Amino acid sequence: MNINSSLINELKQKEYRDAYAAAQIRIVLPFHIRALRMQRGWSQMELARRAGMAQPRIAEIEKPGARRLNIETLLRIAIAFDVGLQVRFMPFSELVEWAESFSPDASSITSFDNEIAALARNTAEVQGILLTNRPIDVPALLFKSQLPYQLPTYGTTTTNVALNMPRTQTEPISTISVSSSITTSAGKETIVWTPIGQGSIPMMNRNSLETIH
Amino acid sequence: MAIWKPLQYVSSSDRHSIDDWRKGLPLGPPRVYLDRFLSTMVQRERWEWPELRLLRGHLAGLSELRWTCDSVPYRIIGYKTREYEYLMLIGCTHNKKKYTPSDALDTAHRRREAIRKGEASSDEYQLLSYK
Repeated sequence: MNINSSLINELKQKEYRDAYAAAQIRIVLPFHIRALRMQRGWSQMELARRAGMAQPRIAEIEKPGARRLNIETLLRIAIAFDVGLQVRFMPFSELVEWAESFSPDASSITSFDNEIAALARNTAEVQGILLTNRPIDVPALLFKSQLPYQLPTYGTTTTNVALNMPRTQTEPISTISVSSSITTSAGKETIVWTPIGQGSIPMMNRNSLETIH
Repeated sequence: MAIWKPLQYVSSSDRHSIDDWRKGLPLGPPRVYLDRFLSTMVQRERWEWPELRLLRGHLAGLSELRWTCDSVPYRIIGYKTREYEYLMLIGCTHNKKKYTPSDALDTAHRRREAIRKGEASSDEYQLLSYK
């Protein structure tokens, strides 16, 4: 944050600061609610049904600035989306950093059920791989094992995953580490798996480790 | 990250339409909501209802950006000049179906023609930055 930037100069005025905090809720949040609904493929009617509201109210909520959103309303929407809701106080420096980098459309929030299902699928796949005792095509293995995996957070992140796997029928189980980076662009999630210590896995082909879903 | 590039109408006397309008808005919510609305819009790939409405009739080709502040509907009338570029011609309010200024639509139409004829120009609208 630059103290001489145009936004900070405006925020030095109390009236601007007060309205800035409100605008995050009244202007930006409606965009976010609509984005979350669209990501789930729901109509306004469907969200209304799940939130126990009337469809016209949802239509109003999704219009920037049209409604004063209170916490009860937001809780009902969070429950409908099956996601958490965090309300807390913070310094303006933190609010600005978050607000100015926040893009409603790029910020997908996975429902709890989907998070659990994805983790369960991922675990099951990896366990299934560990139980096999046949020659393994490592790129296909990684592709298959990680395709259903969804990280609960967006942006770019790196996770180190160690997979134990038999390389051939006769060789003992070997261990490799895989680094994953996930980026989101235009609503598409790209997962790139990069092996660490590639030299120990002769069948590995980096080009086949990239998938988009 | 901004996807869209917002432009504003610049008159032959070098008046910047949206900068001037913004300066005339009260310092509190009206000005801030405008800033936050535009900052959010430029990050959105698709502009659609309810924050965008296409105008019709002799105003076909123009559209209005829409948001509300303190129960007052605010509008910016403009048009898409090319992919991910939007030229804002005039800012106004639209309370109880009445535009303020009352000739906002005609002004927008006239300004679009002035741009087409090369009698006026446009300039990039500078969104607030914290960096």
